[in-house]
Amino acid sequence: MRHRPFARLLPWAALAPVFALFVLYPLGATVARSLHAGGGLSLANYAALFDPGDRVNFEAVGNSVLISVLSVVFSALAGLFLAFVFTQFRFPLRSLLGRLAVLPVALPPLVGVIAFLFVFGETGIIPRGLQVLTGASAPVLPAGGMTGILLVHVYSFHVYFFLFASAALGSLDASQLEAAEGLGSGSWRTFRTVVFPALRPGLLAASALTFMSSMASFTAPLLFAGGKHFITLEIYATKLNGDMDLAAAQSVLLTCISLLFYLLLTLGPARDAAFARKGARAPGLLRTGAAARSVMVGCALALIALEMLPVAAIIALSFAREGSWTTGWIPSAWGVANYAAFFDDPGMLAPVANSLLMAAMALAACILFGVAAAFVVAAGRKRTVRTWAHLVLTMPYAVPGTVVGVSLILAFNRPAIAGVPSLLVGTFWILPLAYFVREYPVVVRSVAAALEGMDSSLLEAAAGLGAGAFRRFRLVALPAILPSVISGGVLVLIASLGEFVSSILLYTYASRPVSVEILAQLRLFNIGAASAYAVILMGIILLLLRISGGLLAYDRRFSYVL
Amino acid sequence: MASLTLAAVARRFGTFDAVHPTTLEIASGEFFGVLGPSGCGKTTLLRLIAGYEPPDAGTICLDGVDITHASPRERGIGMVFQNYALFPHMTVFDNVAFGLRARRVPRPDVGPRVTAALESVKMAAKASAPVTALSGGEQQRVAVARAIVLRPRLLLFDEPLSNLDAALRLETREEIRELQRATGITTVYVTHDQGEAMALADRMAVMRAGRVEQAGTPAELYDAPATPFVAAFLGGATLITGELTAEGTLRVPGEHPLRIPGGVRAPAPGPVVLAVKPEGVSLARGDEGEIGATVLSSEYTGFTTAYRLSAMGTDVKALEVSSASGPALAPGARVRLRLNWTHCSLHAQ
Repeated sequence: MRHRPFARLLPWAALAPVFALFVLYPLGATVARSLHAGGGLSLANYAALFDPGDRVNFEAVGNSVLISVLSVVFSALAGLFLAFVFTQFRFPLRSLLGRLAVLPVALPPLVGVIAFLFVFGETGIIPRGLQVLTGASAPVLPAGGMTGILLVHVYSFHVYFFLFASAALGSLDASQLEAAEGLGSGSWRTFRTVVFPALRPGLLAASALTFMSSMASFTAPLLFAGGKHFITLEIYATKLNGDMDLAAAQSVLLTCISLLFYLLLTLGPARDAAFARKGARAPGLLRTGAAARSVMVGCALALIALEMLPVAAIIALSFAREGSWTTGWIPSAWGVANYAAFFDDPGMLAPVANSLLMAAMALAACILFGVAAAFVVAAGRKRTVRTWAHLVLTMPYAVPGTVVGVSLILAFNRPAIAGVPSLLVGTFWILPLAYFVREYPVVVRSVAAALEGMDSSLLEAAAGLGAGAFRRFRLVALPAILPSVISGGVLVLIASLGEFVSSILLYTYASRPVSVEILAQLRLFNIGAASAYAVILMGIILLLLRISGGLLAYDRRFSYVL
Repeated sequence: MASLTLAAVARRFGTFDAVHPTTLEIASGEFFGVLGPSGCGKTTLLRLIAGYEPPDAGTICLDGVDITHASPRERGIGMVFQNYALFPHMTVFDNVAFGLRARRVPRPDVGPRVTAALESVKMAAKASAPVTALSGGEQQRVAVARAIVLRPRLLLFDEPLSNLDAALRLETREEIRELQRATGITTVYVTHDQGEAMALADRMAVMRAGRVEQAGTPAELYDAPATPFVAAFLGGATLITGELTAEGTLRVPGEHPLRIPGGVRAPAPGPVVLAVKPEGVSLARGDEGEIGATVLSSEYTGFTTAYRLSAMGTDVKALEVSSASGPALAPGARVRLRLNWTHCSLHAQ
């Protein structure tokens, strides 16, 4: 095909300024600031981070790493167990339960954490319920501190392992296992040499993703940490204290760790091409008796029931009368007052309206930039070029939300850059900008995958039939990528609507989003109002998933979420 | 090399009898074909032999030793799967060495044995290639090498050629036959392709709906089918329902009673099925045939011409040697037919 240099440079010309201004410049400003101490260039900020004498910083890094390692281990155990049960056994409602099992990833982080707090926290339903049942003097088995954070992480991140392992186990051909057995291989050897290699790429990917997400986790430590220090919390606290130099150094450290794992994730081992499956039946990796099998299915069902509990609880608590949950294990008075309040005081809807508006703005920007970036990625001739272009353009995916917040503050808190007004901090615009930076990589990933999968001979055929560049895009490329644009767009909307981690650093009262309002209500002990906001948020997300599910009836990712 | 005996082996899935009680004797060194349409239970039979399915009844003996309840690992049976079941993350060499290593064959012996097995299937040059990089035919060879490297007492093939294209299928089936002759390993070969079964097998069984309809040499089955199904499946025979009278004539729809020549094996008088192979029908250009027919279609393939005819109330297939008969008949032509009874068989209904 003939490429006019102009046509090839156009997307670059459009992308480069945006990428430079909103991704590279803020990160660069953060690095520069981290090397700034005592009025000059210095590594003092980093020295502070690794100084065993500086208890707080040292402990923060240590705790974050520890919780991340534990999160990987326990998420892997839970996710693998569920994946085994769901792929190896047949039981009633299996496919519905399988979809419920992935629900935690669709929950906004703050909603998941407070729901968890209401059920398992120190004053939560279960510890207090057990206290009532056993007559103990204090709540029984409350989840708090490290355990609480770990449980929240496992609650959210085991889904990665579940999805990756289910896919791998589901694509494993039963005849391979039979062949191994027939060749004389025992169960353990077969697992080690045949099953595990099939699982390995997915396990690595899920582990990297979980480690990255755990390091960047802000909400769970914020609500559960008590006096313990974590790196994300320290960034937040240091910023509140006004020590931006140290906050920048902490941000750079956290980002480097995240980027390392993102590299691992992207450049890690590719999955082996699967052979055609013919005549393969449901694989039976586990030769189990009926009793063992019932126990395992029972455990899996109990896990999923536990997963559903926080969501059910938050819906129930949204009907609790404010101030009625004092000493009982559940509130004592119920009603629809929390929802009625929205009609009495339309001002209460302001956070919802803010979130919707800002998410819509972020969505428009993400689609424009993300689709263009995907075309730039897909235009690479060589595979390595494509991989690296993808890696660079989706870099913000690996930047923790806290760091996005800090870097935007450092970049846009000055009145002008090169004479152009640039004071965005403290304005309405900074939040949609943060959402854009955080979420556009989702669109790039989704659309680039679709372009990669598109048969390039389609475009050549269109060109051969006389279609110009615009017609080729509109009639051939666009229909091919539209499902990915929609699915990526929905993910952007969902994430932006519930965004909390950057928002808490950047919001102003006038532009406060739902998540920040939920936290504010929680701080006022308005549990009913906080729950009602959370339910409204979940309702909007559910509606979006339903609509997009209808638009994308054939898209597997969505059939999985709902 | 071992003999295999199945005695009243049966397997049921829920309420579905995949294999009815089946008895078979397979001699040492024999190449035994199992032929049948899809869903007839032939793969289940193979899996029972390999030990991947437990039989609900009956016994399986290998060289007189009861292996009914032995695990697949203990049986010493090699199997080539329909989709080859190669381990995708391993090289050709590692796939073939898998069984040797699992059986703890001393390390110095593994290499030479793998190489020898790969040489026997002409794949030694690709030993270090990943199996995912191979073509279908090459994968098939590796699967065979992986099975024979263990020097199994019995080799099982589950439709091994069904994923190959037509030309490769012919070539590979000859190679499988050569390899079996050279090694002398007793072989059970499952297929739905009657040409493949006839060409390969010393003896074979035709299965239908979980039962063995008939077992014997390919010639026995072809020339003297025991059931209408065998005649139709193996010989492509047309099945015509009729009635055998006490006088020894056959009433078929729309015709005068046909006289059955002496020497034709006939069941007791009553409702019968007449199986007529295509080569048992000759088209008379004049009036001398005993059965009236109309040509529905003809297909000239060079050496032979195949006809579809409307006769005796049904569609009858006929096959003529093109050069031995007159010009091809056009659709709509009225002809008379004559039956060649050596290619026909009568079966009680």
